[in-house]
Amino acid sequence: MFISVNMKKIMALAIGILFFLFSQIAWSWGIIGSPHDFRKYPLDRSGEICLPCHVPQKTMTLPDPLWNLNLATQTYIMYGRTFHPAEGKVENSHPDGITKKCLSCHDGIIAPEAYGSNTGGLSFRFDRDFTGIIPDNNHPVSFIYDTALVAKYSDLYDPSTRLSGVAGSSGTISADMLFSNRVECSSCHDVHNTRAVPGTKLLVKDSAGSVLCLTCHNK
Amino acid sequence: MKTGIFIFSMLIMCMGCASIHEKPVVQPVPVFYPALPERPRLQFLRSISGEGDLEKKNSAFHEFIFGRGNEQLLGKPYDVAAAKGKIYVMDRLYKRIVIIDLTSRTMSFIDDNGNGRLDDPAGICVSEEDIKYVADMQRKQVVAFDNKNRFLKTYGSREVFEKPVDVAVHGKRIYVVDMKKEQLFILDKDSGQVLETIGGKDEFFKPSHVAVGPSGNVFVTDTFHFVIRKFSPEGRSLGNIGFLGDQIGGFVRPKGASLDNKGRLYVVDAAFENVQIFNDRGQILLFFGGPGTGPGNLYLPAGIAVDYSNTAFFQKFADPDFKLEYLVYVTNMFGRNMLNVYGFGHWTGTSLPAE
Repeated sequence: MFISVNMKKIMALAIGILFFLFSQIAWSWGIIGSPHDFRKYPLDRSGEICLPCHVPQKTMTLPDPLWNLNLATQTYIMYGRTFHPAEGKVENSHPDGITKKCLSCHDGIIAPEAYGSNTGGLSFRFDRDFTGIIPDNNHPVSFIYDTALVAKYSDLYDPSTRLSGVAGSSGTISADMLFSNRVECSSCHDVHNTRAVPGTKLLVKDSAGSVLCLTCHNK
Repeated sequence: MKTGIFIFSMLIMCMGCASIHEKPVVQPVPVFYPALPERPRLQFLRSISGEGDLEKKNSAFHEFIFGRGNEQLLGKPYDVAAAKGKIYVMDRLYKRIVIIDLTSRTMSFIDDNGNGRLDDPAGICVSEEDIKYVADMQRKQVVAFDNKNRFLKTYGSREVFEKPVDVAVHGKRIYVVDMKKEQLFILDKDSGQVLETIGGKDEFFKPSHVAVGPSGNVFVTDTFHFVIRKFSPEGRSLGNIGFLGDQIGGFVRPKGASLDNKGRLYVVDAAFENVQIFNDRGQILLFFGGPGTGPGNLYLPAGIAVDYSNTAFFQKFADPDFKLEYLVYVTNMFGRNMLNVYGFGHWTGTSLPAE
């Protein structure tokens, strides 16, 4: 009798702990309920969670604009990559395709434009002239992080050999965190919340103890 | 002697700087929308990213001493409005209003650390009397400045607004969109009293911008519904313009809107990085801009304003066969070119084969 009562208590406690853990994990497991869950309201119109960021292809036949009847295309380019016309290559030091998608909402009005702690904070910049690590609280985005950059700055790990340490992956930084060799918003932020550390701003690794920073920075 | 060498080397360095920062030549080929041989309706005129683009004629001595490096630059322009001789840019980097004075060819700020202090400004509009109305998300108010850029008055309070993001003025009415309350407010310009509240959570989905047409109809960018909502001056719904999609006439990330005197609606889209023009029946007329950093391209654009009062300042940048009727300003939040100036006009050259 005495034992069974205790067992019940233990069971209840165990279920409680499991429920707590599950609720924590569930929060970080997927986009539903995450900050990017756009079914904000119970009666949401479309109910389509992916819509604001992923636009379905439509195949309607539409009339040409009345002032421009000689169009070769019926669709627009979205978040176009920005090529420098003179050099014929992707503009360095300006936000690139995938980061532009983030910034189209994260403009400071529709969504926050720079995250960070309240004590100074970490903001992001898109320099007109990216020349390396600057000793302030700015981190550059949309720049190429490759062995050439590592050769220039000895306190960076080589992204092609260094493991990312991202949960559930045994890949390198290049494979897990870079996009066409470039550091973008999604290098550190898991926008779909499938592997983000709970309680962070959708970070792929915990920023506590600078674990995230030390992935790339050899300090 | 050492000082002499130092001064001499400084002189050489300054001369070097001057040659690096020489202004690029204005594009030799005019950028028209649509391109010739179709009848052009708009021409890209120039970009303004700093005082240097206003062509202020500094003395040779001034340039020698200061170079072009000390000029005031735009940081991260979000919204734009204009009055005679002035362009006002709401800059999110400075969180202040930049005044571009086309007559003196200078840039300055609206500076007010008292009642007119701006904490987190978003949208701006300017009345014909050069009164500036600025929506401030932190103050939860609309702050007005007079034609001398002095604080005039405020509209609304924390009890009325949660996140006022844009404002438009027409006659005796002020229209404000609140992104958090997801409502359109109509206020009396004189008393500041709320006359009407339209919408709510079931009506809008993150409305971000508001504009008024020549007949007083109101246009609200319903961002996550991917349409422009049209209302009568009193707030009666008059239907939608656009649809979700990357096809011509659609929207993915609609932002700033503005109208010309004929009721043509200009809408910025930050995903396509272009501006689409619709007639007063909602039919698409033209689009312009497009991604890139070339002349006329847009880079994460946000705000737009139609301006009839300053064409004289920009006619010289137009093609000799293109007579400007009004200007269209579009802000880029990133990229090399911060504020793009386009001219809507009329082709006066030889007849075009496409017609």
